[in-house]
Amino acid sequence: MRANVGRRSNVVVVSEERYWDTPSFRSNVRGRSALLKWLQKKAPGSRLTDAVYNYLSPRQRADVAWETRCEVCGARPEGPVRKGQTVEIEFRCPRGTCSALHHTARTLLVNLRLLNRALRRAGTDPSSLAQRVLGRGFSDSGRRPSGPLVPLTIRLTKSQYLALRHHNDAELAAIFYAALLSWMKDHG
Amino acid sequence: MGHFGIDFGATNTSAVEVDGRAVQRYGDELGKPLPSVIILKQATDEVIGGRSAWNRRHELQQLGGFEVVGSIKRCLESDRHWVTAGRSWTPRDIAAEVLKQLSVRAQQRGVRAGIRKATFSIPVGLSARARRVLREAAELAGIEVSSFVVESTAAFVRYFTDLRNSRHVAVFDWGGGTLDVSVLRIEGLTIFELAKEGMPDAGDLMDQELSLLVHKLIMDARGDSLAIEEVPTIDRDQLIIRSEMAKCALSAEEQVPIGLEHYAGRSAHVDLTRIRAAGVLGPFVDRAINLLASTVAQAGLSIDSIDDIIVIGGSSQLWLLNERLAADSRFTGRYRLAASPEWDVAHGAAILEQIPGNYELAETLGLQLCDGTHFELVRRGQALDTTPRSLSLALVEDAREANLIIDRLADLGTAQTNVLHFSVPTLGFLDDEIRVRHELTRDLTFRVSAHSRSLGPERTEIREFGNLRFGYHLGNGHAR
Repeated sequence: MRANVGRRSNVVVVSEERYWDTPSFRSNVRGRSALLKWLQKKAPGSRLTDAVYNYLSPRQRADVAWETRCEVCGARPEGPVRKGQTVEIEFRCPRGTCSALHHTARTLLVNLRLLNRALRRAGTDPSSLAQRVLGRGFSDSGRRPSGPLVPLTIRLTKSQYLALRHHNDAELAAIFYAALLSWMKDHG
Repeated sequence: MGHFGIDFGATNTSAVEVDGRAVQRYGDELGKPLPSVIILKQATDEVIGGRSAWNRRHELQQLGGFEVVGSIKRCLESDRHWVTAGRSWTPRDIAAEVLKQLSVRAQQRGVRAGIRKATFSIPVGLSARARRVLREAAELAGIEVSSFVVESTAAFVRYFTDLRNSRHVAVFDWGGGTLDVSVLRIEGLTIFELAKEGMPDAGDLMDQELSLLVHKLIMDARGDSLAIEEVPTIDRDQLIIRSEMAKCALSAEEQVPIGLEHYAGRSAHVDLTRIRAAGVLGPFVDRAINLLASTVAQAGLSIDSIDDIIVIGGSSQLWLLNERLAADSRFTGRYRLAASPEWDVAHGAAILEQIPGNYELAETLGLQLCDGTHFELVRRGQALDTTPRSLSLALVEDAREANLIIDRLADLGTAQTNVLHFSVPTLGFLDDEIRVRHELTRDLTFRVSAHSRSLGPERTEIREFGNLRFGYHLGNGHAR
């Protein structure tokens, strides 16, 4: 039997008095409790949702969100599970009473021609294509899709959902558009 | 005066002096290494050492009024004390007596001031505390320890000139107590330690197991069924000593007689055959060969890529080891038995003593950070600089402990491995910093200490890692 637990470093090297305000420190803060403390120090008095959106990375926003307790059993049933080089948020209810919802659907607008080209190249269905495209990482470029737009419903993993939940539909469309263009560029 | 190397062994201790091309060996009056046994006369504090102590140890132990310390190396870091009329003796004091005897032998052989400075060989994994005790013992004996070197690596240095055309070499050093394996890479005039592993009690456990077999043979011959635990301790000690002697004798004979004047109330005489002994010794030999193979694998190499295997040390003369190595196709044509197994380690240490500051670190150690990257603490190629260095850490999560993980970074074909990990109590996220201090010590260990700035230095956690790998530069003129 192989051990499935391991010790994880929780430190960074610091050299400045205001180390907590440096980008290298901020980007490494993890866990809801630490992130809330950090936000309180960084932006005292500001609205939590604004502060979360303004200062935290998508992963950290997800961190803040996933540690909300389950309404049924009081546990924190979702958490990060390392899979090779990536971390995915998975369902792990300790009581076994709460069922898992593996994917969450979101609808966005996408350029029809671009979508068709990508589907031909990928040889797969729209939902799987969306998984592949977003699985490579994403960011909000601010560039909105144009041309003939069609609504597309995609299924997001827990990590993707939590990371994108603060984005409205238009922002989500822009994120997907940028990710799709990047994927097309890398796939000829 | 030449340069000295000292092999402070569990059973024997030897010194070799290298002066230009001249090589002198210092041991007992018979030209053998000096037995590491020390006998203290309880009434007068008199110290008996060397060959005469070895020859009389059973007699004096039976007589009473004497403290017989058979192998001080095995208890260097223990809290044991031996009490005589005028004083109490610590392991450091006893070890110092062994070294004094050796220095006196050198004086008697013409080294006017005795041994004043030497490179000491040590087994793989000898703890930092034991190293300090050994250094202090040497100082008490008037010998300055200029450096330590792992025994198996020192043995290779002895053979460097013969094996310069090799790329990778393994040294299998199985002494009376410890088994050490070094895997080395030769690059020009520099040798790098790729991997070092050891089994600290390999020789002792083998002797204990063999004594259980001899006990059974004695009981079978008597038609008795006494458990060994029911045998007086002094008789059991004798049994272990005689079993060890029989084991050595089996290297030359198919069958060896074992005689004990007193064993559980009567005299005992049995014959030990190779076939019977092989049943007990076989698993130890197999484990030793497995350690050799696993150390080669740890170095990121296959046995096929090892050009030579040097087999050295008292236990390496065991007939069964030679039989099994010869029968194992992985090692055929690759291994060679050392020419002077009792002296080669000290000889290699003496060669290194000739070139002060000849070594450098052959690995990089880094502090693992929360994002999986490493902050380098000491770097490969760094000369031994014992200046302490400091850094500050901050927690990235809301925890009461900072997890400090120090890894050996992947290099020279070897994989990344963890060497130290420990936790330091803190006041928590954003409320505290961790002060870390790290240094390479002159005992060739890496020491790291850490404490929370808020909780203060009294809550300092200290860890030490001794299995560092080094590279040794051997000049043409020195490599003899």
